[in-house]
Amino acid sequence: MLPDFINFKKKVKAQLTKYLQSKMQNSSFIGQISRKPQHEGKTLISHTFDGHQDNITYQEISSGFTITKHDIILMGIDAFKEHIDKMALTMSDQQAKIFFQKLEKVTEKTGKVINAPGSCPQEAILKALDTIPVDFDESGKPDGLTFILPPNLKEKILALNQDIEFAKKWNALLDRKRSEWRARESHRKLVD
Amino acid sequence: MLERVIENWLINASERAYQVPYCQLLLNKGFSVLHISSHGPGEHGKDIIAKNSAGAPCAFQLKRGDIDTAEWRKIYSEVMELMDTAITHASVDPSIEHIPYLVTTGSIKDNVRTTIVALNEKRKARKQPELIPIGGQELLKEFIDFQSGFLPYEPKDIYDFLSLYIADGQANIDEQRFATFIQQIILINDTRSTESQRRIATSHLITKYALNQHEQKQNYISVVKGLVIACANILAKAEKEKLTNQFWESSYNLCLHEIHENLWQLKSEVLKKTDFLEGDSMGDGGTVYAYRSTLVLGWLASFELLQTILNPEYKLDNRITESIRNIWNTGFWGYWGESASPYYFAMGLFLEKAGELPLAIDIYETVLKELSENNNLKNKTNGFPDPYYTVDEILEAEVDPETSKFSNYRFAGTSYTLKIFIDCLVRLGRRDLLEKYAYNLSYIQLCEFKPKIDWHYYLWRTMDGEDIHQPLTFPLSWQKLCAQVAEKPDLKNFPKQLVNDKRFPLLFALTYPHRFTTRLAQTILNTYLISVNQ
Repeated sequence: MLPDFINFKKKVKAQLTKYLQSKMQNSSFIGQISRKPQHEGKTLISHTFDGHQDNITYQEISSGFTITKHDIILMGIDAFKEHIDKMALTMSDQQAKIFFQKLEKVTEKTGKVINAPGSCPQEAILKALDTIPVDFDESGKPDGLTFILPPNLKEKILALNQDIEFAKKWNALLDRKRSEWRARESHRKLVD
Repeated sequence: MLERVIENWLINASERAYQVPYCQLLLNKGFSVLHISSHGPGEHGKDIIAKNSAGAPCAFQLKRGDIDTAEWRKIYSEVMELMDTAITHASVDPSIEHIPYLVTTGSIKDNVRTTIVALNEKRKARKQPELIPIGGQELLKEFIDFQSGFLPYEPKDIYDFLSLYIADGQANIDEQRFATFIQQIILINDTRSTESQRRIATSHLITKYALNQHEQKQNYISVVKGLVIACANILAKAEKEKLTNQFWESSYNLCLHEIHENLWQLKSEVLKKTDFLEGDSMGDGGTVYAYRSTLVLGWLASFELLQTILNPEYKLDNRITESIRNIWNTGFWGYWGESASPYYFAMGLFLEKAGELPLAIDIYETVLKELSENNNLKNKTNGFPDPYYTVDEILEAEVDPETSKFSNYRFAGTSYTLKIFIDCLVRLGRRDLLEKYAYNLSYIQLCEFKPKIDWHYYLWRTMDGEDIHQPLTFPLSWQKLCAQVAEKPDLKNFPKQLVNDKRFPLLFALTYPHRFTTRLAQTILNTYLISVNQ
């Protein structure tokens, strides 16, 4: 064989893997969700605060690409980087798909699916907000409340800021949620 | 090639290092080992006392290196003692003459052999058993023959074995690598129990060879961890193949004997030292020093507790209490992550047993505070790493966060060992402390990995099992917590030997921190604090 540079290649692979992971993390909202590894077993059994149990098995996500000898010779590592960017997108799409499938299952199971036929989403938003517990920060603002929307709805939602009627209902609901949150917070203690 | 490794090991082995492996040879030859001398020259020149297959008492004196005339003169009085002083052991009738053996790893020179022949003539005339000399070549042949067919033969296993054999003995043992290797060697399916027995015995010897560098550097904690891993794999094989005790217990007990010896040596070293510094001073001190003192005192606390099992009359050593108090008062302790939890548990338990309740509570509270403040979901940091990360990995990450194995992970919101410390404080009636940390506790999921198959509990990693995450129920009921602590542990799917053998669970917890669950902690508590109720 011809001389090979195994250690160099190992480091390059490790670097590319890290690059792929950071690209994936930055290419979708899922990257914002914190992660931790499961070191053993193939199943995660998660119990929620409201008593639901969820058995989670893991799904593989993968992607591939072909690269020509010519490109490798000419561009070296950069030839891979270009493909890795696309790979990150494909894989984060797969990840997002799995996430939404799971979300759908869980919300269906726990009765938190709100269908919004028609074009005006106000009622659906208020209903959806009503089904979930909302936390608040020290200044009293909702903490960690995130809307994931299809792109065509973004403008409509932003326009709701001008809707005085909706704002009234929204604030009233948030006040209620704040009271619920305070009640929940008051339970975070030792009793009897 | 591996024969050369064994030869090399034997040449370099001290009397202590080959004492227990030699016992394995004796067991294989049908001897029953009655006594192994501890911590120094054998009593009355006898390092091992055994009975041969015919039931005759035998005494062995072990030496290292060549025995020439000069050496013979040096050891003469010891050899005389070996032969002429009767064995004092409950299982041996002192009126029966014992067979004396002189064993060395080097050669017994011709003129010494001639002297022994002359000596034996006189003994024969007096109708006394002859002194049997065993030299290095004979010893080596016995070791090689014993392991024939059981040594690693796959190229990868040989490579792993050699890598461990030449590893840096000054460094901490790479537990995962070591456990994977031992598992490959020992957990091969055997068709007959006698084969299993032989594989277990030879695996113990292979463990000894693999720990050679650490033994030579007197890196006691690494040696102990290696032996605990060997013990765990022996138990895994015994439970997996449903072996009766006769096929595995002797080897297992020999491993435990060595663990005890190494911890004794560690204690002697620590008590001679005035501080916990070690090796190159550049890079030592500060965090490294604090983590090291915690590790060492965790092991010594466990050793003291172990002594109370072996000898119910044993009085816990006050010097260990003072060492813990000293690091505590000076702040030279450190919690590096959840793999530190068993060490704090061991120190707390030791102090409880020693009657130092306030300090024990301080220690338990420290873990509760560290985990509840850092691993609650509201905390903005990543929290303490889970118990799967070793102190080495965590220290390396402090120096070079870029290459850290866990920099992208967030552990806040979960904990594997928190409930154990909650239970300790509940058991001790410290409602005030639970009240103090209750808010943060409500933002932490309690985690436990449960292997599906009992004996998988002993494995370093298994893919058959479930990781269970569960929050505490809020408002947190003190009465319910008290009831939980008073309940008997649920030992369904829990390995039998971890309950039956009181000597092993604490050693196992320190070596396998990812197996340190509430069930294991309760088992340990039942052993040491059986009479303590809330």
